[in-house]
Amino acid sequence: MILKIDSEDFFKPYGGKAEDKFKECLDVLIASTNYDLGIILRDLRKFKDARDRFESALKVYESKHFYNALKCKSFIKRIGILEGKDENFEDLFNEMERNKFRLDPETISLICAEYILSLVFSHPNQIDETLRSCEDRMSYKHRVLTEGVLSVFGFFDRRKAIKDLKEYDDEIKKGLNEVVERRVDFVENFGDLVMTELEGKGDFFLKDKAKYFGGLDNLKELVELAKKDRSKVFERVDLITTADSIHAFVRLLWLYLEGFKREAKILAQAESEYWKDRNPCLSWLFGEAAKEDKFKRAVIKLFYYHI
Amino acid sequence: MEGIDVAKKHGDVYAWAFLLELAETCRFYKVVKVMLELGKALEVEAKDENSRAMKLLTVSKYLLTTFKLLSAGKLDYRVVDEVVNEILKSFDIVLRDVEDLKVLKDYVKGHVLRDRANVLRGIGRIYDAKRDLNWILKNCQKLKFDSED
Repeated sequence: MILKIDSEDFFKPYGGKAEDKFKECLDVLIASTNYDLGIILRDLRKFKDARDRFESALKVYESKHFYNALKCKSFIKRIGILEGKDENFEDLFNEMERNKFRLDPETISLICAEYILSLVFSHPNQIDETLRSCEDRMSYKHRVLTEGVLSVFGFFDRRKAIKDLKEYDDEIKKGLNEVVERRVDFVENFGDLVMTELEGKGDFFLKDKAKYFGGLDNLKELVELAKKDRSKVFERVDLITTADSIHAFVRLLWLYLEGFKREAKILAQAESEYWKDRNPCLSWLFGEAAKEDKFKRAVIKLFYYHI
Repeated sequence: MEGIDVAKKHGDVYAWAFLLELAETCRFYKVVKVMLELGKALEVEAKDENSRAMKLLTVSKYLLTTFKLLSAGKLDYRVVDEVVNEILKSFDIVLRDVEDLKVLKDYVKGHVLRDRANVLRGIGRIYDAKRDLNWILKNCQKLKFDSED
C-alpha cells in the first residue's frame, strides 16, 4: 500500500528528511499499537501473545526510546509473574538507577516497587534496606501496595500497612457514598420486581445489573436480606462497592491483614464476578484470591498486574 | 488563556497543541472543561489537506487526554458516563472526517484508532479496543512513503 503524499509538507515540520521522519513516525505508531495490544492480550489472559507484542514494540523502542523500552521490559517480566514464573527484576532496577535522569518519577517508582517485592523470594534480607533507599522515590499508590503485600508475607510492620491501606480506602470511599446508597435503594425497592419480571425473560439485563452485586445469586440473597435487615444489605453493598480494581485490591489487602477473611473472600468473589466479561485476567486473579490456599500467590500477581 | 480564544476562533492546530500540553501538565478541572468545549468545535475548517490531517491528529489526542484526566479522578464520577459518551461521539466525528482525506488517510486513521482504543480499554470495552488496534496492524504496517504522486 502506497501512502500518497502529494507534498512533503506534512512531515517536514518534524525536521530532517521527510521520508525518514515518515518511517520513524510510522514505526512508533506500530510499536505503540503493539504495546497497547500487549496490554489488552494480557487482560484477555493470552500471555504468550501479549509477550510477543511487547517484544515487537521493544525492538523499535530499544534504539531511540529508552523510557518506553524500559516499560516494555517491565511488562514482559510482569507477564512472566502472571504465568507463574519467578522473575528477577534486579537488572531493570540497575538499568533504572543508571538512567534515572532520563525517566519520569512514576516509572522510577514502578521499577522500585516491582524490584522490592521480587526480593521476597530471592533476597528477603535486603528488603528493609532497599525499601528505605527507595521510599522517597515511590508514589503513594506504589508505596501503599508494596507495604501491604510485604505485610501479607510478614516482611513489613502490619499495623503501619493496615493504617496506610485504610487511609487509602477511606479517601476513595468518600466519593462512593452516593453509589452505595443508590445500589441499596435498588435492592430494597426494585430488587423483587426486577427478579420476578426479568428472570427467565431478560437475563441479560438482570445479569448486567447483578454484576455490581457479586452476581445473580448474591443479588437474590441481598433481595431476601433486604426484607429482614436493611443494615445488613448496606454493609454488604458497602463492602463490595469500589471505584476500580486498584481500590478493590487495596481493600482486599486491608481486610486480610485485619483478619476479616470472610469479608475478603466476599469482596474477591464479587470482583471476580464483576470483571468476568470485561477483563478475564482480573476476574481470574480475584477468583484465585477468593481461595484461601491460593490467596498469597494471587496477591503477588494482583500486585504485578496493578503497579 | 489567550490560546483558548485563538483555538476557538481559528481552530489553529498549534493553539490546540498548546492546550493539550497545558492540560497534560496542569491536570486541572478548568482546562478539562475548556477542552470539552473545544471538542465541539470540530467543524472548524482547515485551510489545506495537511493542516486538516494535523488537526484531526491533534483533536484525537485531545480526546484521549480528556479521558485520561477524567479517569485520573479530576471530574466528578456523576459526569463520567456523560463525558465518556461525548468523547466517543467526537471520535466518531473525527473518524468520519478522516474518510474525507485525500492523502494520509490510513496514517491519520491509525493514530485516531489507537487513541480511541485507549479510551475503549479504559472503560472496559477491551474487545472493541482490540478490533481498533488490529485494524492498525493490518492496514498501517504496509504504508509506504511516495512523494512523487
